[in-house]
Amino acid sequence: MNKDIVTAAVDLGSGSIRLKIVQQTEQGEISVLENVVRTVAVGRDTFSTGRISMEMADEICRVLLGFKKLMNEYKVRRRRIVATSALREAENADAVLELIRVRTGLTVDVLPRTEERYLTRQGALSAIPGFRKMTRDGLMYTRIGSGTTQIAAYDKSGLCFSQTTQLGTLRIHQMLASIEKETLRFQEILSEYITETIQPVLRHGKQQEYERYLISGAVCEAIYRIEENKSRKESYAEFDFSRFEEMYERIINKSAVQIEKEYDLNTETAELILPSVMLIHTFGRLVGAKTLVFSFGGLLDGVLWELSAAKKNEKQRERSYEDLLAYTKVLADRFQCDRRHDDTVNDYAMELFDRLRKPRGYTDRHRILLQMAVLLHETGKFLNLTNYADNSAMLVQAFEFSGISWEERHMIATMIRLFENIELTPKDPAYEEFDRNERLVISGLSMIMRLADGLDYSRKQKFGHVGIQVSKNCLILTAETEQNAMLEQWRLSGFANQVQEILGLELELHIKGGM
Amino acid sequence: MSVEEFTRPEYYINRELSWLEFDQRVLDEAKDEQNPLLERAKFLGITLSNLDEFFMVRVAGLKDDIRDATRKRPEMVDPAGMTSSEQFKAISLRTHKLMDDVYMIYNNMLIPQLEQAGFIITDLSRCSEEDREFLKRRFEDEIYPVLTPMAVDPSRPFPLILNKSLNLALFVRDPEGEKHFATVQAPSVLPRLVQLPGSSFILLEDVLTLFMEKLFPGCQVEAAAAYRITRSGDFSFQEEDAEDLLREMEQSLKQRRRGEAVRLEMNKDAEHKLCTYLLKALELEKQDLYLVDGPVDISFVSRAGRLMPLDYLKKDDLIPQVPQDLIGEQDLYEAIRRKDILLSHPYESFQPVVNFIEKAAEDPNVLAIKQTLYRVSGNSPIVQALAKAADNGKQVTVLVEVKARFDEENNIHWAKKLEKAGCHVIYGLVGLKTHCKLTIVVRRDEDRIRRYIHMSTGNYNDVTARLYTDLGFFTCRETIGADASALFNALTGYGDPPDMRSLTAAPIGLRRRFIALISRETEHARAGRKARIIAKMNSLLDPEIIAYLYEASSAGVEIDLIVRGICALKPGIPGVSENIHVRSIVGWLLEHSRIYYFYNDSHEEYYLASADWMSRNLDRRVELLFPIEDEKLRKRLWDMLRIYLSDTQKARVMDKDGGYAKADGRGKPVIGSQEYFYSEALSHAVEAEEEPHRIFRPMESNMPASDETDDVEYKQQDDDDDE
Repeated sequence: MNKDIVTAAVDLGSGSIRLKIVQQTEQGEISVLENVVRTVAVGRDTFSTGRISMEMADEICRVLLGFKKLMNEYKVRRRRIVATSALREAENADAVLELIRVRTGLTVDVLPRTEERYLTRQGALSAIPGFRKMTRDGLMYTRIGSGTTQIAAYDKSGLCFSQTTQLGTLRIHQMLASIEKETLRFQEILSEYITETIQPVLRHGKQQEYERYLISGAVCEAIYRIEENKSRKESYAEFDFSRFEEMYERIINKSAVQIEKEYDLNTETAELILPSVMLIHTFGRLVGAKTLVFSFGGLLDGVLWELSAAKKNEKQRERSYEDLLAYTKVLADRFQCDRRHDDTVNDYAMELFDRLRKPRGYTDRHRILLQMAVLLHETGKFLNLTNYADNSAMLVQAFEFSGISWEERHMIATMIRLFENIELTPKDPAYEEFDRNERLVISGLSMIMRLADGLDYSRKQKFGHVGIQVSKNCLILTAETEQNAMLEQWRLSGFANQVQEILGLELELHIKGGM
Repeated sequence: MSVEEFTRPEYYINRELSWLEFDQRVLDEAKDEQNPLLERAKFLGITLSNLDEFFMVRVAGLKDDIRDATRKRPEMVDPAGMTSSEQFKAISLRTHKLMDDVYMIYNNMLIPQLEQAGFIITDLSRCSEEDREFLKRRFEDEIYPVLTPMAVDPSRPFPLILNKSLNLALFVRDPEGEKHFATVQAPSVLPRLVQLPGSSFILLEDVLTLFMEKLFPGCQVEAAAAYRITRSGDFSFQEEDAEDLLREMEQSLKQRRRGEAVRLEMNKDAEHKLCTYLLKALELEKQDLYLVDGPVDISFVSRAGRLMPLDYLKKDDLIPQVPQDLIGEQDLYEAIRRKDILLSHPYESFQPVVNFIEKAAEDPNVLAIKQTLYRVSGNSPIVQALAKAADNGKQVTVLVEVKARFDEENNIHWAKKLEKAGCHVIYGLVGLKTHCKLTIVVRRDEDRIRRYIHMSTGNYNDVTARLYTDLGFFTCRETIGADASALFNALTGYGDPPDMRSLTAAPIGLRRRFIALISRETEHARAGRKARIIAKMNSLLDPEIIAYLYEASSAGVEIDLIVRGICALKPGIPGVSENIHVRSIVGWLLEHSRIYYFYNDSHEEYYLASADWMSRNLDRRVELLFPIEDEKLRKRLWDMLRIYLSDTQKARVMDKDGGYAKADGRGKPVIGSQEYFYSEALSHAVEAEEEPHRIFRPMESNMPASDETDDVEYKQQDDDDDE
């Protein structure tokens, strides 16, 4: 049996430390071996004093040592320990991480917010077998958190929308607490507030009715238990929306204390039930949901999903890239970019990339970033045609992409700037944050963008197939058209020195055009 | 009526009095002429050792409460509305009656019949000169050197008399004419029965009395009588403050030998002044004195079979058989993979449980073993296997409950041994006793990692597994494995108490679960549907559970309870419990299994558990309730319950006043449930033998495993009955 298929993930969260150990059988099934939660209010220190106390650090180490023992029992070979906001925002995070490493031998990765969201979403989606099938008819997804709610929409081409709103259960709970005292019509008022906050978001995201509405988040388990009167056994559950509405009517007039007692929940969870169901109810109605799907997968599942080496998950990983690109195209459309030109440039860029990838050591990840840069490089023209590259770079950093880090977005933005021939030197603030290797990648990829763009400089898609060859010291571009190709030839020949300097290749053009 | 209305004191029987009725049922077995003579003697011994523990723990507790109440706070009142003083008075009356019965059986039944069989206990009046000469030599050579007579005077206060020891009390007059009290302990290293030439026996205290003047040279012995005291055996310590739990336990155990006196036993012919003196010296009251019509502490009669060849007067030893679910199986783990397995001990061998651990210890594919140990046998093969597993590089985690009352020393010993072998030993949870019986073996099979689970109603004790009826269960169902693992993680402190799907554990939900199961039957009955509960357990005491049972009965649920020991519920009260029938089975084996059945509108549910319906199980212990889902095993359990309810030989039916009478067997087949289950196990084994090449033979000889079986104080009392 392949020992590598027992994997483990640990999540050092704000309220608890969780461990999950899974095995993947020969048939490709994933089964959970251990699912352990230890309540440790790591976030309490961070959110109140900004630092993690030594007592808390000791407790964390104690728990992690126990988890390590469990992982050793199963002879786990691949594991990842991640931490989120409680450590991310602690001033003494470095010292605490080092203490953990020294005492337990475990290295903790503090996840950037974007990666946390990405993995959390992947965890939620991977818990649903047949998720892709569900998206074909349109699916709306929300991840309900205490501070924010992530919203995403899927259609047959993949992810078509993604946005985070500052509308979490805690905020609604606080509002509810004050409104309840003033009026009995708090349901209506809150529903209105939620609708008003979500509507602008949905204006972009809601391309159609979404009959299937997928929800993930900590409260899903509690809502399931209220609905079914038992703990969940599977990784997801489906309900008719009408059934959910009946449950909603049943509990909406109850207090948190009543809910706590009647459904045997702890106080904290009980307090979040009403805001959660309000959110789900309002949202479900707005998008025309007929079926609710609760996913019980979360960050840990996402981390495990990433660790898993199965083909199945590589396919899923490819699909997540597809989602990213699909969403990038949606953004490009929103900002009225020239899709035909961008698609053509993208094709050329990919050919160039694939030829140059091995000698230059580029990765799949770089390929995605290049594509995104190509598709978004003209978004800034929507705001202003002059100096549009700066605008494009700004927009790229403002867009919400789940699945790429802040650093990667910064790379895309810098590629776009470089593409527009803005001379950047290592001393430039925009460049300073990158190390030497990253700067080389950025300049190389933006050179590819320029070459690809040059091949369709007239935006008339004059060439069909373009032959691209890389010989020892030469980059040979061969293209033929019946139309006049002098503009493209001029443009490309102007890059000869840059290609020599950046790619270390002599540019050879064999462009034939008609009169 | 609401549930609260069923909590009236008149609906409850006092726990201690119920227990005394249980001890009476044990004693009734000593009376039952259908039992072989030596078995009857054994039952008498059990009755007495039960009583010792009762006084050491229960009566001592009441006396403490009475004493403290005068100074600090009012006496406690039990659910039956009795104060500690009232209980103590009632106990005293009942126990005196019980002791009269004990000695009636001893004097009028056992001794004459033993004499007929050649086992004669003589007294000084019947000793010949030759006997006296023999005794003189014995006394001088072997007895006198180990005696320490102690006189009491102003410079020598009343000495500390050891708990349950046999002593001689004397008044002696010294050469100056002063009268003194003196006492001599009969050391436990000396046999109680001294064998005379010619094979009869004489009591040790008689020998001491014969030569007592040698103990006090120059003095005159004016009165002498044997006596025995029972001391409080309870102790408590602050485990939360204890830096080292083991050391704290060891020190507290020493205290046990010296708790306050709670009972004094003397022969009825003892001089009255001696009795008075002792009562005063021991700070006891008149009702604490038990004057018996015979020797003090006659439990020696239960060991008659060891002193003479009287095997024909014993019941044939039970030979545990091949478990029917394992007949023809070559590999235990493979069998568990294919199906759930139920073991019915002691009719079916405990060896597969031992094999389960032993094999895991050697199997290179086993990754980890986790087990809870509550009471283990002296030379436990399971403990040895765990140590071996650790030696072989397995991750072994053992939860040793050191607070198992009266087994603390034993468990401390094994905890240390396991730690030395490299096991990760944990001492349970602060404030909770870990009583569940659970083993998890994590094994990497060819296709995946699996958890093989064993759970049981009885302890991992291969010795008591031959004497107690219990049910063990093997499975590798994923949901059960996940729950068991999650529970173990919580017990070992790795994780929070889990939300489990299949298993239910106390104290995190077991009470609620039982109430939900009972209430569900109530709802079925109220809706006009058939509703039934059958529950078998050792004790039924919890007032809340009883109230819900009353509610269920009043709604029309048919309830059959098989409660071996204490039962605080009163059956047959009109409008309250007329649908509840209670029976107790006391036989040659100690009934110990816990089975819970709920009809649930034809979606029947069967559960086994480590827990009784007692508050301590539901609130202060870690217990496990597990479902039996395999259809074949459910059918087996149903058949068992049917037989228990049909027992006409050893079943006693309870009336609404807490009294018991033999089950009415008129017009019914004669069924003794224990004999029935044993013959069923035998016939399965015989059938298997008739089919060649399909025999799984447990690694056992046909003799008892060791002399240890005879040495075990087979108590007709739950070994867990320690509160």
